[in-house]
Amino acid sequence: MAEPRSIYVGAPVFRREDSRLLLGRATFIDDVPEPFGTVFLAFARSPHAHARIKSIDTSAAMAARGVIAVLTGADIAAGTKPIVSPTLKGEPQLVRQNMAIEEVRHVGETVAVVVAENAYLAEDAIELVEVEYEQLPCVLSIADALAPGSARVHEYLAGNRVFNLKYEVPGTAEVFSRAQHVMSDRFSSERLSGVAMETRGFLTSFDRGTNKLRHMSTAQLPHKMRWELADALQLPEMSVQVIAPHVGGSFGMKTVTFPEDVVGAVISRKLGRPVKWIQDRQEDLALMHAREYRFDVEMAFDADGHILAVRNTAVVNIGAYPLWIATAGIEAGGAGHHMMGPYRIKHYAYDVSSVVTHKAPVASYRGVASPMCALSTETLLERMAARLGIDSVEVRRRNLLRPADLPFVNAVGIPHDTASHLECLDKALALTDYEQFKRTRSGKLGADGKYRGIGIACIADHNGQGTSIARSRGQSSRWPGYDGAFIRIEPDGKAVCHVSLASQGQGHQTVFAQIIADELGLPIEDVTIEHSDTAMMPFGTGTAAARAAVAGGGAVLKASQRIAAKLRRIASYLMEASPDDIVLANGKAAVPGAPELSVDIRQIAATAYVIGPQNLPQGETIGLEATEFYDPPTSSYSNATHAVQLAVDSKTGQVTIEKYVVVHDCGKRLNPLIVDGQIIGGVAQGIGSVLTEAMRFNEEGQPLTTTLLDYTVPTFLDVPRIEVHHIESVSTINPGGMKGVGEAGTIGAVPAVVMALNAAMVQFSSALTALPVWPGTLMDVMHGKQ
Amino acid sequence: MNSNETMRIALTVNGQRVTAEVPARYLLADFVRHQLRLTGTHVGCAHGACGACTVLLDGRPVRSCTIFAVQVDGSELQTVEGLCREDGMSPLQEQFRTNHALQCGYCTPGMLISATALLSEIPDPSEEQIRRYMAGNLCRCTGYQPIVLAIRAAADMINGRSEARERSS
Repeated sequence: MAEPRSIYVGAPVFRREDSRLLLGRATFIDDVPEPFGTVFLAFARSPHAHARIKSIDTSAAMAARGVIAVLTGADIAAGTKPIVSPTLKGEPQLVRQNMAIEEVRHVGETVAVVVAENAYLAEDAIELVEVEYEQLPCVLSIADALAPGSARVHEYLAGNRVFNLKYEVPGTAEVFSRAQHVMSDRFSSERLSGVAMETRGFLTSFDRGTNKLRHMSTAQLPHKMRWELADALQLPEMSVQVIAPHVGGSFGMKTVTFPEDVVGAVISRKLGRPVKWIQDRQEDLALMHAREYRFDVEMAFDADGHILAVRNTAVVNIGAYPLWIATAGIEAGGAGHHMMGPYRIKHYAYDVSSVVTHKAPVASYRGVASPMCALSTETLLERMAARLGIDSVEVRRRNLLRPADLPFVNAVGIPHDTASHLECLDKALALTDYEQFKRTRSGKLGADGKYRGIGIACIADHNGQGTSIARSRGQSSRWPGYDGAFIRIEPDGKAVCHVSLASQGQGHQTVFAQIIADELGLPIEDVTIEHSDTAMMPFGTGTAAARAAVAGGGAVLKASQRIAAKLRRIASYLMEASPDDIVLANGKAAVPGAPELSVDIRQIAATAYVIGPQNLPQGETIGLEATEFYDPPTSSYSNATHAVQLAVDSKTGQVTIEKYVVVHDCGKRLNPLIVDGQIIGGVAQGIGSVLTEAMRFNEEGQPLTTTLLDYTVPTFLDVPRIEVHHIESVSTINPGGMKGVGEAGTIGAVPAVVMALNAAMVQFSSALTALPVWPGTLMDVMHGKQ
Repeated sequence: MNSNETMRIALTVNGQRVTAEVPARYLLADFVRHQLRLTGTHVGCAHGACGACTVLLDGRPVRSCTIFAVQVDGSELQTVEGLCREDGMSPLQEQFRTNHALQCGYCTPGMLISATALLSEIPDPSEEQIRRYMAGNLCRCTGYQPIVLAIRAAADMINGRSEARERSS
């Protein structure tokens, strides 16, 4: 059969989302016109990390101008089910109220909500809610949480550990005990925040006539939110519609259904009025966190620098409550799963846990645990190289998966099918003049008073996981691994496709349209992608974990192919030609080399709907539509080498990145513009995680970085020019040859920047193991205080 | 001041005369977005740190989240909705699209407004000048590089066009 021609797939097609965004005509949640009677919320939040609520007096707030209602935890509990999460075997389930009732367990936990005629008046009245607290001792760090005899965050649990997963390739312990060299260290990171430029928000409306909830929200995973709201409000899922309008970034943070969404829905049901809430930036920074880790990593080597075994004992501080319903283990699971990276590691073991503390609950953030995994392995590998007196690039070469090793099933059972580790490495070294720079400048103080350093990191980015892998990681069955696409060619010959994946800026409306236009032979202008409305979209897993191109692309491809087959069958009947000879292109079904054998897709559509002059061929059903799901049989691995040259000012500790090169391989690139955008944007966030960002707390658990002047994301002046080069090792796992790309930039940038800093500081310290690395840290290093 | 006190203001918004009764404590951003319903201007932080809400006030970029609507009485205001031309997108808008200088697009209106001000002050900026001028506008998606390229390309486009016009006249 004739293969469809690739006109759009692989081409730098300009984004179809852009014009409305550029003209100021896109609708984000706060742009949606409020229906008549909309009321607005503001939340009174705990100022303490841990306290008993002695009393709440809402009378003054209730009497304030424009206030319609003031509700407390008890009122909310009366209208909803609490969120219940599993804990360790044999322990009671962990219950979270949607608003605190007797006890608050983190700063920012809600204790009351004001409903008012507008947002200004709601905020005014919040000041009048009087809450009397009795402050209690708080547990903040991982060490505190695990200390024997430490206070318990939830008294009915035996301790603060709420998730634990262990795994060992048989023989790993023995390999460690017999190995000639073992390198180990503790790696840690302070909390980060995703800081999407748009904060969270919702406009929710409960129809008391039909008992249905219509919840417009900044949801990253609309189907997951639908289920969680339905469960909380005890409604059938079909009675809850979640719609995400344009969403201004998420990076994992909006995957979570926070309690405010539930509170809004409860109030709308209670009052019978639409309810709106837009989170402010201070709430965003105080509440939306991720990546507080402590990894104890060991690596065993032979005398030639071959890695024999790896072990990771990791603990994640997830805050006061697990936010991912049915699992507190998303980050810990990642810490277990991603340690092998691009290396040939046969023996591997992990023991990963999550602990609860009196900090805000965490969501997942771009790359989840992978940046930390890569930082640990790259650091220990370089340290081993130094001990053995072998060049660290050479040690990488000896351990990277070679073409001859492929396919290679790694120690957690996931195959690397195609890869280009050595090619990426070589190209990155050449592009940064690595050897020359290392010999002449790295680690040396320049005449300008700056130490220069060059660093590289080799990574494999796990992505596009299917259901089997999600299950093996103990993830929620409500976050399965497949995605869906529903495509319909309308009677006018134009196609619409509903995908199960929402977009927060990734360009789904462009990329999926490219695939469909090629498969159906339509001009891309005749293909429209819709997403983010649970009433229309097929069920699926959703956009996260660099899986949209793989799982969504697979579903779109399958559904397109079914429709293409039907187009060919009808065309074959109309033209009296064999369907196998028919090519779909340029809006026509035609037999190449036979100019008389051509029919417009529009005419085929008319025939399919029996509104043209011809009848449908015998046995064909009316219409042109297909729903397909694609469940990747396993995961994919993209790979890359990042190379960084930087300067550290010896007087200020200020870091300037002077050159940044990425050589990347994500298989078939559907749209090179979008791929580069994902990589460069990801690198910028990785640079931030090392050099500029950290969520800081005082000893009472008070978050200190709750403005964008305190929590400093990288600016135009912090992110250098980033050169991106590509190698395309097409995936054999999925039909489109795709691999994911959303997280790889961040995963590579964190270790690469730290390796370059280690190289610059080589005469002062063995290695930097705690993130972030701020100018003060580097001044301490240079003054021998570390 | 009483929280419900209002004042009457008159100004020009995107070339059109507007008079409005506005609560005295209303931020300019809220007035523009929720009273005029020009929702292209976005609020990213409401404390003057991210630049998403930047508008042009008498031709100069200001953060509409840190001034009151009543302060702009008698002024000329331009928002992202006023940037496009009748025949389509402005050179900056076109180049943002061509260079993939936006992903989620939330910061984009503020970027376009600041870049408009930049190009009117420095018609032929270097990369360094672009980065310094734009440093008060935060973007979390793009890594800034495509925005720098887009602004540079728009400058070329505008300069090229004005040269062409000079030649033909």
